[in-house]
Amino acid sequence: MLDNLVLGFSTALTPENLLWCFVGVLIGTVVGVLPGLGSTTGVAVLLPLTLSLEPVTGLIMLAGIYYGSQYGGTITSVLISTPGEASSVVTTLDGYQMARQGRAGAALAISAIGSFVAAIISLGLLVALAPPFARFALDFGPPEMLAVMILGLATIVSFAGDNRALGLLMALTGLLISTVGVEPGSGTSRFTFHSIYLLGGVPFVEVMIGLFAVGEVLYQIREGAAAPIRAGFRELLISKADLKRSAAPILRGSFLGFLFGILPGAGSTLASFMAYGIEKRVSKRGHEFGTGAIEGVAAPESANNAAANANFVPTLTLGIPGGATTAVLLGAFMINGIQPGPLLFDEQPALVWGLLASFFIGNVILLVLNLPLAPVFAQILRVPYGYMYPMILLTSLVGAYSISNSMYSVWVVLIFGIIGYFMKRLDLPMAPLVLGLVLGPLFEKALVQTSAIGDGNIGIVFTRPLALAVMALAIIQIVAPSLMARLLRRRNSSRARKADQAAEDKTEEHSHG
Amino acid sequence: MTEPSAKRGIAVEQAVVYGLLTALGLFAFVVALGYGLFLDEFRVGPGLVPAVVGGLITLIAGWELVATLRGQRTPHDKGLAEIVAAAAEAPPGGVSSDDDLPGGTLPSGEQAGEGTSDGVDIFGRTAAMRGRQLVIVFVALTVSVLLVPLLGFLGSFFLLSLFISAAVERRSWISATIVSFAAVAVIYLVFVVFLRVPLPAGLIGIGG
Amino acid sequence: MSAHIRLHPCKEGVPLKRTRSTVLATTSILALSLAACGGGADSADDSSGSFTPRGDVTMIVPFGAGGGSDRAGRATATMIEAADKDASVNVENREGGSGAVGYSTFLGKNGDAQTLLATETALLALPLSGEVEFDYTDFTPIMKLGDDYTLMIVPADSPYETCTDVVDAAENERITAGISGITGLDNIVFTLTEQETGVEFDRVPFESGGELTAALLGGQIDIASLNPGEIIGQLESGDVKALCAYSEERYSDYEELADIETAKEQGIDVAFAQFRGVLAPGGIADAAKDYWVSTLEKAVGTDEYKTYIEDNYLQANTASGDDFTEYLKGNNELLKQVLEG
Repeated sequence: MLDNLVLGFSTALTPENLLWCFVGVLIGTVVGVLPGLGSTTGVAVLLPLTLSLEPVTGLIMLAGIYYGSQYGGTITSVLISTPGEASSVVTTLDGYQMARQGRAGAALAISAIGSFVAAIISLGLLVALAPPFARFALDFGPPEMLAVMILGLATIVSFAGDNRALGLLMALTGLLISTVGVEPGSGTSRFTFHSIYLLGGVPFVEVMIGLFAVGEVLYQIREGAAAPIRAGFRELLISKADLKRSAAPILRGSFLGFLFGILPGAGSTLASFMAYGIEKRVSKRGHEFGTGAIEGVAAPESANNAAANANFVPTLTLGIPGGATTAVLLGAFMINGIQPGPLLFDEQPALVWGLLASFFIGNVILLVLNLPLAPVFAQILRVPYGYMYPMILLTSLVGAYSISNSMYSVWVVLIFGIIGYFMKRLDLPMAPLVLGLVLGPLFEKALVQTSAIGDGNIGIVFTRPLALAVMALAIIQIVAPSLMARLLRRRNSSRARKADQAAEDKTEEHSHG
Repeated sequence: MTEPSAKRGIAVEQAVVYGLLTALGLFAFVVALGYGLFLDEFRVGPGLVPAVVGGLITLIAGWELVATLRGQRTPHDKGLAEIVAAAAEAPPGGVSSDDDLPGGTLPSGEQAGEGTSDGVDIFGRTAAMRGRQLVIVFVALTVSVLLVPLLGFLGSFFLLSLFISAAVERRSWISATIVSFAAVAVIYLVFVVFLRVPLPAGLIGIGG
Repeated sequence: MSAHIRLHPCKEGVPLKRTRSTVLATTSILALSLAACGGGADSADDSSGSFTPRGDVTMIVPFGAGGGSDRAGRATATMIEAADKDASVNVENREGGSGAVGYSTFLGKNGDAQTLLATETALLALPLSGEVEFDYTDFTPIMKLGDDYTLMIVPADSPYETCTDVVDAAENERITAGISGITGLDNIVFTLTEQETGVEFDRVPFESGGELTAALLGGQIDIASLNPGEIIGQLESGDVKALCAYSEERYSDYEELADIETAKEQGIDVAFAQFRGVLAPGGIADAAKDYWVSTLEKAVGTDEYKTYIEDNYLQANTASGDDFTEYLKGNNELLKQVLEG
């Protein structure tokens, strides 16, 4: 164990590897900042560039791009409400509000810190416990995944806002959009209208760029140019109180993110949504969520970072990709002539441990780079919106094009831009739509597989203990809020009565005195 | 002054959106039935999920549509629409951002001074002007995407940026040209030179 | 890059057609309008009748970066550069619609001998699904690079030792077989096995080799059929075992796979390969075709080729030019029989 770490760090700390790790993190951050270029596209687009390097160096750089772009995506989520990928959609909810209130610096700093803490925790878990966790992940067959997806869809109640029906409506719309394309079970093509582009479904990264980036631009044009936000330098720095408020959410988010991250496929998006939902429940400031609560940035950011690292558990120990980006990374292993699989740790110790050690180093670099830069990035908001939005539009469209080198993506962005505008205008919540769109295919696949394994009987979900446990969680998730709300209301009202009483007493005292 | 009409405008848009969603759900439901709900032995077929989802959308959106038409939905309890409606009528400050909620630390003091009445923003545009702008920007966007095959990706988006900066945002032609050119140059360097994205060059072949 | 593109006026027309095609949602428009542009576009094809690529050649990969098709495309690019020192090949990923977008883009390059495509079984499977407007006869087959067969895989603790055991068991009990898609190679060999033996496997659909591996290890399914390259790690670690190879010949070139019997040896006469190859667009001049065929013939003699084949556990069964066309014809008939039968 210890000599493995020593081996890892001695590999990762060679000047060359250190340099490329730094370059990877830096490029990753830049790529993440560009709308449309999330970590998957970033790694895929940049993969060819790393082929001239030594395999371990190339992989270190690609991994750097991976988590660098995660952070870069956060920057745009906070500053211009444009998430780089689905897992930072949740960050926009409170992060963007914080930015509008001049606290972008604090939001960016807390996500840098949260991401760093999450990275260190999850890497510790990864290094110490990867094999048993991988074993555990294998127990999640289709019925268990079906339960997990139901649990995920149940989080919608946390995002629905005031009108539950609208949240549900948007989630269903997302689900419906996700059914476009070739159905996994029977190969039937659904709602494709004979277009080859629709065969692969409606691509959700493009949908996100449209809804968030273009939709927000159109909305801002209609609502009138926002005044540049002139926050004082002090407001840009993160305060002690912020840190204190965020500590528990970061820890909860990290562990939750790790758990979801090791399940192949479910990944970071679900983790960030769940972390936000849970935090909204348990936090004393639950009612502030959505209006710029720092916990609402800290929790999902830690969760998606922990999940991103946990994705490496199945990837490195089993050779099974944990998510879209790790799938591309696995491809990079194979292009470099390295065969991923259970023997990877034994056959390529220098590579695996070097890669893991480089995660530590890369995350330290990210923190050192981004903490001081957070207030600087926040200065972007001083640029008047009228000057900024043509640039946002331009980069969104170029970014969209580069996802699959296709004008089709550009059209999708445009169409969903208009949809996003109307959703903002009519107060239709976007987060449930994204959740439905992302979880839809996973949910349906699990459903189809479960019914195939059960030979037409979906009830097998209730005969498998793990699946049953997750289903129970999902039911609690749906039922608990109304129960909790009733309890809270009772407690609050009694407390309020007491407070009134106390106040009255005080006034009386005063009047007497 | 504009309060009732703004709210009515929102209500009409709401009704249209719910109506569209109802129709979409119904369409999906009917089409999905054709895909087959179940395979043999009651295995989940390709039509099941879209049919159920489409059906639910029809029900919920239909319900909301009826509620909206009966005037029970506008304004929302605490929703954005209300704020929007309020913003459209109230002097700015809050106009500029969709979320200028009470208690925010937005330094709104200085903005409040700039505003006059009639919902003008910091550039002195009224709501109607901004509505026109929105349409212009969206049309310009669509036209520029349509022009890509002719002018190439970069050429056509250079024109878009130039048009928006100069014509919509009223900047001087010189500064608009410089900024647009710089933006396109940066995009060229990042996407074409560095990331090697094969952007379409167009018939005239500007900046492939 | 831009300089090179200006030499080929036809190429620049492509985005227009593609844009319009999304609006009209038909690929036939695309094919028609571009066919009109074809022929004359081959700028490097001078009067002397010889052809050499001018500037960069584009290798279209109809799938995303990092996948099997991408690896094949990139390896082929390196091989071509090794075979012809003057050539320079850029790889372009055009993913979408299980390859449909890439192939349709390629269809739009009719007559443009500066573009190649890294092809595999989707070339035949997509047209059979009836969703696309092309089939293999629209392109110029250049070279088949190799065959990727599948192995029937079970978890290490499975009671079965041969494929015959599985077939025998399937007569009396339920055997769940994971497949990676209706047109996947695994579904094809299972269907062929069923047609050959009369038993039935219960299909559970997955979406990739990785998912199938996880399901096997987790005991969710009984059998799967995977490419050696996808499963070699688990095979070597002993987590799974291979019962038979659905190939014509044993993998005798690979020490670690040489002991696996073919299905035929075990009495099940089924062999089906996913091929990997290179296509040029349709409508190119004979000189251009000759150039590519001879270049690729040289390419399969290079060390780069050998490394690619070995790294990916392929069988190096090549077929160039018209032989490749013949192969496609036969393979297409067989596939049609499986998918429609």
